[in-house]
Amino acid sequence: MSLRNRLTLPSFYGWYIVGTVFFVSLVAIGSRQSFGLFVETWTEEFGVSVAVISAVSSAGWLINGVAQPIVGRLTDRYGGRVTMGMSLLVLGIGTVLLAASPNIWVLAVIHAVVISFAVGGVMFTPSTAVIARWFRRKRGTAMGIVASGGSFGGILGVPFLAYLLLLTNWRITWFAVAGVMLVITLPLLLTVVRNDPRDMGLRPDGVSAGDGADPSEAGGQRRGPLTADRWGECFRSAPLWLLGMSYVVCGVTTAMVATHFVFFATQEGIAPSSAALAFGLLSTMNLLGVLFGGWLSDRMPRKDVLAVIYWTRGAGFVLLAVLPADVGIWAFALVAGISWLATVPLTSALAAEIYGVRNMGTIVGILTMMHQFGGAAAVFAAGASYTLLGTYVPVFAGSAVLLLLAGVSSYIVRERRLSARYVGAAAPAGAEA
Amino acid sequence: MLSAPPLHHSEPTDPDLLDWLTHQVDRFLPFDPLVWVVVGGVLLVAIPAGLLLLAARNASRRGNEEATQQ
Repeated sequence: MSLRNRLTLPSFYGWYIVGTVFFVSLVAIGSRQSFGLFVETWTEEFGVSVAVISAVSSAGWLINGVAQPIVGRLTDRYGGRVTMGMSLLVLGIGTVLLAASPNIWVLAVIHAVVISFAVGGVMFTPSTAVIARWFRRKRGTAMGIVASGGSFGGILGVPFLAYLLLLTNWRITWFAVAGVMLVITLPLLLTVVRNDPRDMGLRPDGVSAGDGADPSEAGGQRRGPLTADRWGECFRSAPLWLLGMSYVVCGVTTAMVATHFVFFATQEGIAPSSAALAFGLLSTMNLLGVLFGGWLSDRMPRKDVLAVIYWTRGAGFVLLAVLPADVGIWAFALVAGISWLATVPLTSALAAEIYGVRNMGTIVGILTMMHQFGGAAAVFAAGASYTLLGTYVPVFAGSAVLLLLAGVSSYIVRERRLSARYVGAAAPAGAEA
Repeated sequence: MLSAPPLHHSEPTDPDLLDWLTHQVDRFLPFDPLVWVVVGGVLLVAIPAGLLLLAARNASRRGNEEATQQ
C-alpha cells in the first residue's frame, strides 16, 4: 500500500463523530481531572482545609454517579447530540460561575452539583450510546478511541492548565476552560455530531444496503434475543446483572487504589517521586490498554477480552500484595494499568449488542452508577480495614479475589447466543457480524 | 479523593503527580510556561478546526457522489 493510500482520510462520516466526541471527552474530563491543581490555591484563598475540598470532590463523585442513569435516559429519549450539547452548555456556564465564586460554599455547590452532574452528560454514557449507533463491526475500536479522549485529557489537558495557572490565576484559568467549552467545543459538537447514521442517509460502519447490511432492524442494527424495547426488561435477564457485578468490582478496585495508593506507598517508605512515576507508567499503559482492548474486541468475543482484562488487573493486585512495595508498585502500574479504562468500551459495547441501542444510554448509565457507588463504598471500606488491621495486604488480596470473580462473571455471559453481533438472520459465524 | 491517580472515570489528578510531572517536563524541555500555553492553545483550536473542515469536506463529497448517481 502506498503512502498516499495510507494517508487517505476516512470516507465514513462516523469517524469524524468519533474524533469530535474524543475531543469533547478530552476537554470535559481533562478539566475535571485538573481539580487537584487548585487545592493549594483554594485552601489559601478561602482559608479552608484540604479535607473540606476533598469532601467537595467526593460529593461531586457521587452526584456524577447519580447523574449517569438520568443523562442516559435523556440520551435515549432526545438523542446524544442534544443531551451532550445541553450538558456541555451547562458545564460551560457552571465553569464560568466556578471562576467567579465569591467563597468556598458557592464553589462547592457549583462543582459538586452543577459541574459534576453536567460532566456526566458528556462522559461515556451518552458518547458510547451515540457511537454504538454509528458502528457495529468496529464498535470496540471506535469506543476505545472515544474513551481514550479522557486519558489524553489527563495527559495533555491537565499540564496545559497547570502552566496556565502558573502564568495567570485560578479564576482566569477556569474562565479559559469555560471559553474552550462554550466557544470551541460546543459549536464543534453541534455541527459534527448526529445521533444516528440514518439522519444522514447512512448505515452503521458506512456499509451500503447491498454490502452485507442486515435488514433485521432499522438503521442497520441487528435485533438479538434480548433486544429490549423498554429498558426495564433488561433487569429480568442475567447478562445485565453479570456485567453490572463486574462493573461494580471495576469501580471498587479503581476507586480504592485511586484513594489509598499514595498513602500505601508512603507508609511503605517509598519516595513520592517514585510513586508519581509509577502513576505516570500506569497512565501510559492505560491509554495503550483502552485502545488495544477495543480493537481486539472487534476481532474476538468481547466477553473474553473483558474477562482477561479483569484477570489482568487481579494479577496486578496479587503482585502488589506479594512483592516488596518498591517493586510491587511498578509491577502493579505495568500490569494493572493496561486494564484501567479498558473495561468501559467493552462493557458498553456488550450492553449495546445484547440489549440493543434503543435503551443503551439508560442501561450504560445504570451500570456506571453502580460502578461509581461501588467505588465510593470501597474507599470507605479500605480505609476502615487499614485502621483495624494496620496493613493493606488483605485489601489487595481481597481485590484480587473480587477481580477473579468479575472475570468469571464477564466470561460466563453467553455472548454467542445473546449478542446481536453473533445471532440474527444475516449474521455469519465469527466476529464479523 | 484528591490523591487519586486519574484516568478512569474523571477522578481528580493527584497534585503530587502533577508537581512531579511539571518538574520533569521543565527539566527535559526547559521552555517558558508561555510557550506551553501557546502550543496547547494552538492545539485546542487546531484540532476542532481540522475536524470541522474534514467533516464538512466529507459531507460535501458525499453530496457530490449522490448527485452524480442521480
